[in-house]
Amino acid sequence: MRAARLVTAAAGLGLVLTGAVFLVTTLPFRALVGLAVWLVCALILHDGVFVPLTTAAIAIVNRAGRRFPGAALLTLKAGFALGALLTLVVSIESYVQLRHHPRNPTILVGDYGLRLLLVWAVVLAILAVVTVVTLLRTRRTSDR
Amino acid sequence: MTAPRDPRTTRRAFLGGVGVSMATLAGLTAGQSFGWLAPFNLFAPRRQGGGPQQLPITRTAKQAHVADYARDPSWTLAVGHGSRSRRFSRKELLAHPQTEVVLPIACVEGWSTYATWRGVRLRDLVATVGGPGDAGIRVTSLEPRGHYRVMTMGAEYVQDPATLVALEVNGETLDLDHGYPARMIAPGRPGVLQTKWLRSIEVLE
Repeated sequence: MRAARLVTAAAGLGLVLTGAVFLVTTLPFRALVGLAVWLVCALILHDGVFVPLTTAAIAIVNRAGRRFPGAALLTLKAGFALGALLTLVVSIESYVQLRHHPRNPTILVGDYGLRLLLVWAVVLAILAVVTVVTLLRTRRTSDR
Repeated sequence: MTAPRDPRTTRRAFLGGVGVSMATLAGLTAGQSFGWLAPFNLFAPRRQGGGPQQLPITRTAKQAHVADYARDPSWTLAVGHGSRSRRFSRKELLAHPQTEVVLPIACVEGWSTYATWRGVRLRDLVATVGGPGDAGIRVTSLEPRGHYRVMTMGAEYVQDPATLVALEVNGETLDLDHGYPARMIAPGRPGVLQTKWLRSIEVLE
């Protein structure tokens, strides 16, 4: 186990270093500055917006589902994470595409809002089924 | 190792959740580039086979402000090599031996779609002005401005038998948005370098 960890860590570090060397040697200085700005903004957005929001959401789910079996709660969290990820990606992608390509008839060809609603409906339906099944199963085991 | 604060959140569950999310996101968007996933393409901005002549567009003729120049009936393609130069109308290009290739537009914006292209082999055109086999070229578009108005291409692409000055796509005359009257199509190059609305080809030495 220890040896495997050491090997994978060394391989990972090696890849990171290779990437860093190629980055610095192949990209012009201006692109590197742009990359640095992007990374700092991503950090601020991640730590300043996403982390507080998800921490609050998880606390609410945990409190509300105190009596839920652990497996059901985990599925709920994963389902909401999936829905949130899709919503975020689709909205940002649509915004960027609209800004860069106004009036291009081959872009943004679908009704993304409706599709997003449908996917949310499917995710919620699966969550409901999984939750009910898990609840029934735990109740049956504890009845025995 | 300390026990996690919330005993219901395990590393395995976290990785599983992230994995399922990523797989779903990829599954519902990658269909804009991979044909077998196309039926599941719910969220990608482009659709396989969408657009004129079953091919999406990144930059339209309108966006490139190129329509008037491209529709000009007196258009010719200038091919130059030092002091030698020739001009070809679309009709003259069509009179050259035509080659058909199946090549993708692989756009840096994340979509790619294969199409059947027909046109004149670039190396044949370069040969008409005596361009040597080891020379690269500089291609200029009719676009008045734009990052990729001027494109250079190394000899390895110029001499590739699949590199064409394309005049037709998917069995029809190129749509204005696909680069009418003539465009470049070469294997193994990003979409932004498949220059549309050609104005001139210069052999570099």
